[in-house]
Amino acid sequence: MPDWLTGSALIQWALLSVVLLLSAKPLGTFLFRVFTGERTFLHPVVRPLEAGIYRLTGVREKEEMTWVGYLLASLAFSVPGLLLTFLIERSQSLHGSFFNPQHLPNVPAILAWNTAASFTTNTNWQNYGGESTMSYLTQMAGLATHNFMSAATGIAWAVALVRGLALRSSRSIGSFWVDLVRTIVYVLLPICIIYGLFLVWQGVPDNFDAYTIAHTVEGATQTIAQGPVASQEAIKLLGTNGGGFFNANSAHPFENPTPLTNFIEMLSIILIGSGLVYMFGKWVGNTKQGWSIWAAMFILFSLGFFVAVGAEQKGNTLIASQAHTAVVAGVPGQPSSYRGSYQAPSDAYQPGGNMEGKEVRFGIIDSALFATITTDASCGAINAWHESMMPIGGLVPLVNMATGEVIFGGVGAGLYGMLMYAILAVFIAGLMVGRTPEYLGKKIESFEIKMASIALLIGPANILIFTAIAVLGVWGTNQIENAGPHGLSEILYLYTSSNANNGSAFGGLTSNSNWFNWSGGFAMLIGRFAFVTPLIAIAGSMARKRTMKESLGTFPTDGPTFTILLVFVIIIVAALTFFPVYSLGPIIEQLLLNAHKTF
Amino acid sequence: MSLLDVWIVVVTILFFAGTVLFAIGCDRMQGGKR
Repeated sequence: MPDWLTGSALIQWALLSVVLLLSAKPLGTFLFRVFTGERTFLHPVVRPLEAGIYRLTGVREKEEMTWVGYLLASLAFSVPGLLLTFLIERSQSLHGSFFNPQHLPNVPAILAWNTAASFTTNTNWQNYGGESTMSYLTQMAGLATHNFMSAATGIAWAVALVRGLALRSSRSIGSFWVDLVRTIVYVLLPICIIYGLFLVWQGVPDNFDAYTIAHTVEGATQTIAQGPVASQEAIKLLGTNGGGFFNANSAHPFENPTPLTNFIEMLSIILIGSGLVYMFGKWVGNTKQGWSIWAAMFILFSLGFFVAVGAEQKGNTLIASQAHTAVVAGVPGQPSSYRGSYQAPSDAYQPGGNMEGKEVRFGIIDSALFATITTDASCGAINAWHESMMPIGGLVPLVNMATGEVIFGGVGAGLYGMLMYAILAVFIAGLMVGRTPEYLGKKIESFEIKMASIALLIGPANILIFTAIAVLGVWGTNQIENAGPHGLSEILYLYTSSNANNGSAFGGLTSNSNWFNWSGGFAMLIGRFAFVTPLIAIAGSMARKRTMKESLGTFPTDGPTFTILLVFVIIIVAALTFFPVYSLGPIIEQLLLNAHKTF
Repeated sequence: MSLLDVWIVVVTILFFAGTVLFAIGCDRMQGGKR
């Protein structure tokens, strides 16, 4: 086995993969039953609640919407939510001692807007430290509530697209309000109640106490922040939101206290995304359609993890060479050929590889796995500092996010993004064999390709234009900590994360500035709402079509050939779009590091 | 509340109005296929 790969890494990857695989079918079947209105085991308890919400809000359950109506309903739901969160943040001084025991002041206006946009778009980018900025009321009513709402909105959009692909000759694609309510009451709330209690059992606090002042044995005082953490933590991960109660996010022992919570947190990030793919296959009447997409996601996930863990496990070559010199010079230490029993160290000075920026409780493997998963999905929770990853290790989160996070993906967002790639893949396959492309028995025509192309171009334009403007002047460059390619990566990561609605930060960038609050906020809004608009349009267009029988010229989309084609389309389209900027950032940084130049 | 707060609310509403126009534009691109 090579130095960069250890048994521990393989076991962690395999264990997570097996649990994910085993959960896909039962969860996907459950989701299918929920969204088609079939009876589930939760019906006796949840159905009265669901019906009560419809009665209270005046929603007619049977009334369906065109794609425009569906999209407008989701916008009409998101705008007041954004503004309400903004208002809650701006009125913290009125929250009272119970909901604001630390008497935290009102959040500054631009930061409050950035945060409201961030949580509305499921990004959860945080230009603030939660424990030092947000009152308990803001954390719960503003942020945690949005964690549910934005996740449910994303799932509803994915369900609409799946419904559009499955329906025939229909003008409607379902009701946004019904999909939204069902997501929350049947899926997110029940799982989060159990998940939250599990986290409390593992040691995550959930209270309204003021922060504890502890006196250490050295005579110093330490402020220990706490609050309603467990309840927010559960949806933070399950809803692929990622905004931590604490600034240190899942590296904080109150958010992620044990190895078990770490494993469950990673699993829960991609759990619903995986289940939704199976649901898609079941809905279109051929589960192999779902499995072929699931397999493409799994291949990309595994590739990302092994590149990241390899780069981190190998460690910093510069430190390794200096350590070797030191040993030769007679400085006490282990020889560079030293090998640990369970992790392969680069040398005695960086045992186990690159430990900079890692939480010692988790080490390299769990940090690389968490970083890969959190950027495969649009989660953005972190348990290690991404900026401190090796340049190639840090490239993995960047590429994952640049794909549009379609590798299991954000709840809903992963599936609708992947279906966009699937449509492009069958179009390319159609060009190769010289036939009109089809997907799921429906012709892919110019409108669908135009919409998919618009959706595909929005991301790169959003990321690259904002990055280019930021590096042009002091408004951007004054805020970076590192010069050279690393500084470029810091800015590029912010916009990639914002566009993808990920929310993880690279670090090293003072992003709580006027420029980054404004531009980052818009990058999030564009990455969410402008991206999804053409995809919901595709849903509407596909729903109207009739299905055709398969012919000899039909490209099969339920087998390994399609899986491989899909993987290559994603890599070529998404990765190569950004190759020039990556070569100016992390790639050249790695090459210069090899030549002993750092930034 | 300050002028900046009002400006932020206006800008937010304008963004979403732009998204609605974008959606209408996409719908128009479907042409006569209704």
